[in-house]
This record gives sequence, structure tokens and C-alpha cells, in this order.
Amino acid sequence: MTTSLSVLDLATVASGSTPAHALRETTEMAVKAEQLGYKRLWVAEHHAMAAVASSAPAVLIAHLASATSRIRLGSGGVMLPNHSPLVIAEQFATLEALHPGRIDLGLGRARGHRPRHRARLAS
Amino acid sequence: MVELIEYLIPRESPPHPAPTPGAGYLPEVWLLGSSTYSAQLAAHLGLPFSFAYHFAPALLDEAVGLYHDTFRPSRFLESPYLMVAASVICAPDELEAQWLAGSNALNLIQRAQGRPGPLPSPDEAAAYTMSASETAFVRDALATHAIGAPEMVTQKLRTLASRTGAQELMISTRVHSLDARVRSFSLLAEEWGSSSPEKKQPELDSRLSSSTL
Repeated sequence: MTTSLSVLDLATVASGSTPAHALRETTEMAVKAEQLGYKRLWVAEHHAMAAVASSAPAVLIAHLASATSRIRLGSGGVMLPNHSPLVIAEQFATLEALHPGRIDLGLGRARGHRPRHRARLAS
Repeated sequence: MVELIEYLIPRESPPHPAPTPGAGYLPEVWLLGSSTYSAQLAAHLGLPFSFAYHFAPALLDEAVGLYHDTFRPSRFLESPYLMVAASVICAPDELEAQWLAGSNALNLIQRAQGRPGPLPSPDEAAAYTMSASETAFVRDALATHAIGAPEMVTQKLRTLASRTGAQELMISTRVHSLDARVRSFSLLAEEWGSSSPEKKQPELDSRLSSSTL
């Protein structure tokens, strides 16, 4: 049985670094992952975590898809309880229209953050 | 979830409102989960399922079993398609891999103590003296991670794949530097070999065709 390998990237913010640098590193990682033959790279939706700069997967996916040409890109995952289904449908249909056949919409049922943040996301 | 998918499937009577772009621009839809409930939901909807073994290792077998046993064919898939997410640190030798894993270990302790921060460097981690209970906590937390030289990591991942029947493994590598991260993925891809047929095949083909010319 052949098993494919893919990448889950959290845009990890290292000590002494910044979220901007973490996002640039994730972009470099996507380019390398494509060169190495990885099937897909997914980015997470985490909120208010100092070590994770990946909070807006659709925005980040759009950037990564422009920096690469073959590797599949997706959300690992969009946390549905945080969002209106219509908005997510529009975001990911837009990605699919711009990068046909390369986009994955991974959906999660958790929220990816603590309750205090939940109220702010919902308001 | 069903509402979201329905916006993107072409149909005779479009939904209201009908997003643009919408119908016909359906990406590959996956359900992610760390529970038996999400496994059953993915099976019920006939969606590919990605299980978060990297943070919910205890439920792996039960969730995967339910996904396979209760799967219903759908417009997306005729048979189950499973991905399992795993934490990996691959380095030229075991000692260095363990050294790099110190970052994640200390970060987990910081989070458990309610003072989460950016990922510490291996030097910062090495300078921290763990209590006995912290050592035990870290040992448990990292027990399911594949940390080591390429052969050992690959062996552990192949065992995971055959245990679950996963078509795909999704690798998460939390290390302090981009160089160590890229090297880990590079060593793993090399050792895995067959994991990159799409990349290797065209290269081989072009070499063959140029040599025949």
C-alpha cells in the first residue's frame, strides 16, 4: 500500500521571532514541500495563541497558492462554529476559482480558542 | 456543514442567496476530527476524514474503526479515504531530534501552566530544569510523536499507516528554526521514497528521454 505524505503547518512563532516572520517561513515551507513532492499543505485556524500565527486560513491559503504551482493547499481546518457557512462557501469558492483543483476545505467542529475569545469572534 | 456544501453544488434550483463564485466551485471537502462523533459524521456524509492523532491519540482506533464501518458512499467518495495527522521530528540522528523536541516539550509545560508563549529554542529548553512530574507529563505528551533518525521515524509512520489503513499521513513538525523544519521534511521524504512519485517520475522520464536523444 502506498501512503501519501502531507504537511500540517501552524505558522509556528518561535521565541525571538514575529508573526510576520512565521508567515514568511510558512510560505518558504510550502515552496519546499512542493519541491519535495508532498501532496498537500494545510494551515490551521487557531486564535489568540502566541505560538501560532495561522488564524485566518483562507487568507493564508490564497497567499501560499500564489507562491506555489502544484501542491494542494487547504485548511486544517476551518472551525465552522466561528463562521457563517455562506461566508466560508464564498471564501473557498473564490480560492477554487483562482486555483482550480488545488484547494481543500477541511472543516472542524471545534472552535480553536478559549471561551473569552469566543465572545469577541461572535460579536 | 451540509448548508455550506449545498452552496457549492450545482443544482436546478439554486439556493438563496446563491454565492458567486459558488455552485460549481467546490473544493475538496474534508471533515477533521478528534472524536468518535466526527468519525461517524464523516462516514455518514461520505466525506474524507482526517483524524487528529497528533493531539487525540487515545481515540485513534475507535474513531477509525467507526469511520470505516459506518461509511456511506456519496457524491464525493465511493469508499472511505482516511488521513491521520502525526507529530514528527526527523534529524540525522536520534540525539539531535530529541534536542530539537525540547522546544515543544517546554512549550507544552508552559501551556499547561497557563503561561503559553512562542516556541522556545532548544537552548532555552535545555536550560530549563524539569520537575519529576513535568518530566512524566512531557514523556506522556510526546509518546506518540515520531522523533528520531529517518529510519526510525519512517518505521513508526509505516506502523501507523498499516494500523489504520490510512491513505495519507499529515505531518506536523514543531521545531524552532525553519532550517530544522525543512530538513526534517526533506529527510522524511527521502526515506519515505515512494511518497514523492509525482516529483521523481517526471525527473526520471526527462533523464531517460534526454539520454535516448
